[in-house]
Amino acid sequence: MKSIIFVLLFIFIHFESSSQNYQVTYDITFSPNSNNLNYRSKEKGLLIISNNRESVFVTENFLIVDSLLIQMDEKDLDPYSELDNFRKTSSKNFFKTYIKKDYEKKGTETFQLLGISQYKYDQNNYLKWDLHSDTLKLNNMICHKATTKYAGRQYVAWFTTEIPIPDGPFKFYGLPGMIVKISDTENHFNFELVSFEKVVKIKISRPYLYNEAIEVSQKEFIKLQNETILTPLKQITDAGMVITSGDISKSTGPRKQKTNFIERE
Amino acid sequence: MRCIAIFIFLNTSLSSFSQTIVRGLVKDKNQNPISNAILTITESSKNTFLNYGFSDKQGRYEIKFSSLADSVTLEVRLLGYSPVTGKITNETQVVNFNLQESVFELKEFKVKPEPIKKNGDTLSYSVSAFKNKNDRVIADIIRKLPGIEVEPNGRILYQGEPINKYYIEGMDLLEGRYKIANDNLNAEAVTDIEVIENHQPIRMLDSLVLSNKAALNIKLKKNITTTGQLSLATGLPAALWDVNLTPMLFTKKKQFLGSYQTNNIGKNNTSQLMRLTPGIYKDGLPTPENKQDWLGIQQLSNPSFKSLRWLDNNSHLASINILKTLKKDTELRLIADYSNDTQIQQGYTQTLFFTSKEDSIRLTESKYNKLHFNNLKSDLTLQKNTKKKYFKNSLKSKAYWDNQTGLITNNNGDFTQLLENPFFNISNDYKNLLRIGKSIVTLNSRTGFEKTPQSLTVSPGSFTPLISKDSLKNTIRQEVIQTSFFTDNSLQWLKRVKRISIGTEIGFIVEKQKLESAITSPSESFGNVYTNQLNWLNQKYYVNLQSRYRKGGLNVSLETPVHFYSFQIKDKVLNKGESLEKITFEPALNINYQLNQFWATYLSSGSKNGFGDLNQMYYGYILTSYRDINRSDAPLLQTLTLTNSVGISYKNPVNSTFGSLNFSNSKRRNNLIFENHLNEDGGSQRDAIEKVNYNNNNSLGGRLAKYFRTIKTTLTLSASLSSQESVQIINNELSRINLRTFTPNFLLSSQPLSWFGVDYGYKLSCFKNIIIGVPRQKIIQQNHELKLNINPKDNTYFAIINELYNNNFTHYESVFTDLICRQTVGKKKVDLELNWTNIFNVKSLLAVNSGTFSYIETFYRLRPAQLTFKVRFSL
Repeated sequence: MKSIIFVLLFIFIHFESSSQNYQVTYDITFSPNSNNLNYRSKEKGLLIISNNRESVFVTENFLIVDSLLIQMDEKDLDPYSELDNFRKTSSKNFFKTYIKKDYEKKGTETFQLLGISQYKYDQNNYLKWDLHSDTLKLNNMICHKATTKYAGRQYVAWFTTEIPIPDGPFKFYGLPGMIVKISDTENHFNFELVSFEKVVKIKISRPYLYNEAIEVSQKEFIKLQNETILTPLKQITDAGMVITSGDISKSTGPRKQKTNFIERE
Repeated sequence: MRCIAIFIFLNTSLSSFSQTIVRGLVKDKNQNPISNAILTITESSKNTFLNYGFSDKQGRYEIKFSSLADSVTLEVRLLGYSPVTGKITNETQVVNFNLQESVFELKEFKVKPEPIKKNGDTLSYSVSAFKNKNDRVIADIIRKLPGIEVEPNGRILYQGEPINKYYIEGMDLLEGRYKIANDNLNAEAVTDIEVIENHQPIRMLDSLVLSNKAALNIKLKKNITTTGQLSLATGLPAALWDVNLTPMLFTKKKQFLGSYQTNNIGKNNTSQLMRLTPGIYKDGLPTPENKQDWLGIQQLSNPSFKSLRWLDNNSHLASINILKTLKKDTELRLIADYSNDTQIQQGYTQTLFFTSKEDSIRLTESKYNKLHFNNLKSDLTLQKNTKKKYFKNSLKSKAYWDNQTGLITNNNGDFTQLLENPFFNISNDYKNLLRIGKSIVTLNSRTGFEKTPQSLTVSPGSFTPLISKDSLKNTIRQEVIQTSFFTDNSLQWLKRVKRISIGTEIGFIVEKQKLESAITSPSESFGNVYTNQLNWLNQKYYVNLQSRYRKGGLNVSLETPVHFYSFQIKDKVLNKGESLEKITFEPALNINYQLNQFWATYLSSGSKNGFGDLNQMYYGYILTSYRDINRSDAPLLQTLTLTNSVGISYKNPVNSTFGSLNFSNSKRRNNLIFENHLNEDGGSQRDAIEKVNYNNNNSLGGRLAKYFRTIKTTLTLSASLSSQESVQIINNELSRINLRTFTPNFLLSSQPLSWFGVDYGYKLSCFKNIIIGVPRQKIIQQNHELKLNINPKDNTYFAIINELYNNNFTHYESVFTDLICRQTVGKKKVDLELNWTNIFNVKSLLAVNSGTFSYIETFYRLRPAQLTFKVRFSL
């Protein structure tokens, strides 16, 4: 697996002669279904920091899916067999997002797959952190507590000034040090830093489907996301595809398994 | 004075908590500004952050903080530079920094990863975690599992894809007919439900051919499990019943599932024995039902809505499924299904035949049909499925002892039709995988034998077309015996070169058939022209090359099959025959192109050769129904069809608008033309003569859908327009027949409240026959359906269904209303369901259909208003 990721990084990230670049790995444990919160799932998040100016956060599974798409196109692998591989990883991939942060602009650009379409939206200065005096030793680093509110959830973050990079997993950033652990107060989503490694000079490229993405506002996106999940087949039937077997009204209606979104609003 | 005092107080209080602002510039040793430096202010004594900030592009920073301390610590940190820390006084000031680059690198580290529990691609769901008080059978649990959906017909989807196998304790007892287990296996008996992702049913291909489908495995609590289901229902007005008894037994080496179901409430329960997974013989296509009905009684076409409204049945169904593990991973399985059903159809039809430009014939037939089905199917399978070896051999047999009786009254009197249409089929499917070098070659073989000895007795036979009427006061009898043997064998492999992938298949099909038929009557003897002694041999050898190319948004696929056909047809008695050899090339091209994120187009084009089958190629007459007599005393039917279609689609999920427009044209060249002779009494005789003619079909379809977020409502508009042109000879006149149809559609679906939903659909269908340029009456049928769903509580459900149907041809209109109430009660989780169908007791339905040169009006007697009460519990 390790070697696959390494190869993937080569595909995903172009080389550039520049200064320090780091790859930070987070273990994400989360409850994907809101009506069965005890069911926990796991993914690996990768934060790739380039030049202390910008970063990209993706999950390992997203990267596999994305590079498969690239390979299918460029190397022209057999689409039939690769599609299987694609779906296999895709089904395990909960965080179907590509988040690019620009430290200077204090903003993120998010690319996300939803249903049958790809979307892109920008967000700026959306986090307001409150710092607390509590400290905690995590991974042998002194961490400070900070709290914030984002997209309908309260978060507690632990950051360290020992890594002076104002970044973190997912869309979290802007603290005076790297976020080592962050979780929401309901503990539906928990990110924990597990490795911090130097990587060779890199420049982060865009995901494969980037150019096909539809630009929306974050508000619009959340609306679409909630709709897609409430009635997962609606988008498909609206698009004119016919679901041949069974009662369409039932399958286009609300689904019993409800996705527990990290971003609620 | 008071004002001043307040002012002073305010001023002091502000100053004690007043903000201190520290600002300045961060530069490197060459005085270039540095951005993104992290600046923090901490309380000198403690480790508490007061505030922090970052330097901007110009190197500027500004930090506001409030503190009572005399001095604070200001620190600047940035990767690649040495950190700078200093104590400053707690007052607004400017502090500039010159940072020194440093070779200091952050230490890398890694947390030892947790040992990950590896179960391959298997997810295991504990039934106890998902089970609640309303769940009784395993289907109730499966429905709730994350990523799983169950369709109303029972098919299980995982991540939106149908599952490819349903195992019980790792064994495939039911061969895809899993609804019978899913709906009857008690949830109490099950410990886990496993989802095996990317399940490749053939283990030899496990890591070679990836599968995107998942399989389901039911794990039972005990090594030896006996379980099952019992449900009973009864109702009014007549003595109605609906019974289901399904016992099961599972052990490590042996599995058994039996079922007996019976009802007379109009339920078609053979759906439980429907196969829901793909087969493995050749591309996974299920075997088609190839029963040939040569003869028939005059039917009443079944209404297009649910069977509970019209099906007058008395059906019994029994199924036995046994699986036994033999030594060396070999499994032996026996499946036997028996069904027995008696159905009654009552009503009348009015058929309007268009015989020429001006003339038409109207035939009224009152019908009472009794259909009796008596079917036995079996499947004996031997399978070995290991990493090193795969083979599967299924020996299947079907035996139908069906018969039908029809009483008909028309303008000429009463007629009785007696049809015996049994069918016997035995076939063997064999699949073996061979490893040749690095690639795997698949060998497929199917061989079968079939016999269809059918007979139709009509009394009196005086209505029979073509035959002189006076002599047939008694009965006339048509007998047909068809026997056929077929074998289809092929080899398949796949290769890929760069951007192009090529699949190759070679194979051959041999079909040997015999048709014997004769018309007899006690008072008359008929000539040879009313008999057939036909021998038919058809051989086909084929090579099919499929290539595919894709780049970016472009996807091109090309099929280039080459077939060699050989036909030997001979009727010794009539001394007629034909032999034909032909090579065909049937290329098909398909191009898809994605223009941008909203628009996509496609184009497809292909040609196809067709050859007549045995039922289109016989030299002597066959009485196919009491008023139709047909033959094809002509060369073998050969057709060449060219199909072209284009389409464009639009999708914009942001504003939820979707649309599409498609056009397709197909032209068919036929070497034969049908010649119809319609008698004034409605009897018809059909021959075929050799004459090249063309069919031309055009169709245009469009669709527009939009979702309105604020009112949670989807509106869909769609319409299709089509024109079909064909040529037939009707009563010696060459007639060009044009059938035009127009079907607009409107749908509204809304779920405004969580406990309330409404669906409304409106469908209009309009059709018109144009015969030799003369348009006939336009027929318009309309259908409205309104459905209200109400869920006041979790274990209570109500639904009201209203349907309105009318047509302009007979000025007929009727309204149907159904009501459903369901309640789950007690610790034993007993379901009580009340079903009130056809509340207003509508007795009959009048519908209109169109034939090639006829309109058929059907008056169908429906089931009366019916109230059933059902209780269901576990064994």
